[in-house]
Amino acid sequence: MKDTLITAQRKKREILYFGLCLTAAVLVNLGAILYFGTPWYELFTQAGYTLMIAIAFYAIAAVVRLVIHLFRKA
Amino acid sequence: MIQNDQMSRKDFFHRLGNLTAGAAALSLFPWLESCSAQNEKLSQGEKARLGVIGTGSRGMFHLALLLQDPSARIVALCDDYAPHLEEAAALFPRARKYSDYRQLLDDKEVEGVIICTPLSLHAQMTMDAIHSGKHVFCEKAMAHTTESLDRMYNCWKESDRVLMIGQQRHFDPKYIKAMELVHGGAIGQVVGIRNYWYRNNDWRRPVPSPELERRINWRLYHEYSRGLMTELACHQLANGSWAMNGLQPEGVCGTGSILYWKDGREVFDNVSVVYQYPNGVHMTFDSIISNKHFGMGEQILGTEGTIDLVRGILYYEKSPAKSGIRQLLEKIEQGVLSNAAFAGTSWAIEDASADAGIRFAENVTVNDGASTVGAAGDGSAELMHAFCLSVISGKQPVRIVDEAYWATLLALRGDQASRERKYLTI
Repeated sequence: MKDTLITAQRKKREILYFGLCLTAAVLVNLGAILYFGTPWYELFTQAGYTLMIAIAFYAIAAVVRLVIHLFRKA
Repeated sequence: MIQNDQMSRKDFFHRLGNLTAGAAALSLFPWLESCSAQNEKLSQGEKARLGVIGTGSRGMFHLALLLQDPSARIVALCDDYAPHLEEAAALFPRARKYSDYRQLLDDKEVEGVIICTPLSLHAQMTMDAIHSGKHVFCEKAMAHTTESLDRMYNCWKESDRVLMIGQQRHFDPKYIKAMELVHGGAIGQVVGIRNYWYRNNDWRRPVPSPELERRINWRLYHEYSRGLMTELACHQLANGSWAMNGLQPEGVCGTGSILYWKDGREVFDNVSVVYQYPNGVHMTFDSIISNKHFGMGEQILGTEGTIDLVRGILYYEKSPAKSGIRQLLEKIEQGVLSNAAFAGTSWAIEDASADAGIRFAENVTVNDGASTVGAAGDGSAELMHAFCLSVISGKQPVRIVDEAYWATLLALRGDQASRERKYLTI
């Protein structure tokens, strides 16, 4: 088994992707608060749900990126 | 049971949750004034001198409570059935014994009498006791006919004696709290009252010899009792008047039959009765004594919630609102599932609310219905103590006889409606 090298540029890119996913999840929470008329403090109290949605977005994005990567390679 | 019910004055107020101190509570439940701190103070050190007429199972239940009550002194006992009288005398060896209640009424030392006899004797014994100048505690129901009920009520009304009836729910802290919630608007507008009482036993007591059958199992015979309506419903029907703030039903219809216990009894072993209030609210009473799965229940149904009186639980119609994000996720989930093709019926069970409810009363005791006498913590000890205080003070607890009068009248009219299978006005 050989060592795997993750470059600093790659790390930055993944952090950026996750940040975008987190922002999207926060926007979803914000939209839900506005749509259902629930209290604003849910922006903080529902942080667990927001994080779970962000992880879900990130996972979906990872699958999409993998498919694109495989197409490009082929 | 006696141990659990040991009661000091302090315990009594604690169990009532100091309700008697509140003006709001007293306006809703004015009879609690009889056991106010002021009355307690006035009667401190004094004892009500009591005679008990009828020392069967219910009489012994009350005697056991009075044994623990510092305001009571049992000076006389009466029963025309010797084994019962001897059993009670063993508990109170210094009390004088009588086999005829009129002899007990002539006993000058007796200030108040406790009547625990078959229902058909309640009215006459109460009237005789009042005429003898005694204060009276009479077991519920008040009477077994509407005529004797009216005579008994009028006799008391024209006297200056205390009369209290064995409607122990009026002194049960759990019910008092529940009614505070109802009248405080916790369940919104009252739209229904549901009562049921299910047991699975024949309601019989052992009879040593056949000639005693009707005397001991008097509950089963129409000459002495109105069966499930006067022995069980009478308790639950009082809740309706309480929840409706004194408004009484204007009509009743019902039905009943002897379905399972075909053992020579004359009263129904199952009944269903519906009462209608002038504002359109209905109160139901349903009882079967050949299936006990659902036990007993007394529920006040409101537009915003339901109160389970027996278990001391408040349920809200709408569960607390979920967060926006949870609602969104559920909507997405429902959207996904609704697109899936499911086989089978489009009809689904309308399930009860999933609300777990809020318990507003602690230490709720339950039993399997085998005991037909009474239960610890059901308000009987408080009721009996209040009677002692009233005997000492000579003050009649406000509205309590009227509440009992209506409970009995509703039970009797319900029985009549179920026997005649008619809608009757009340």
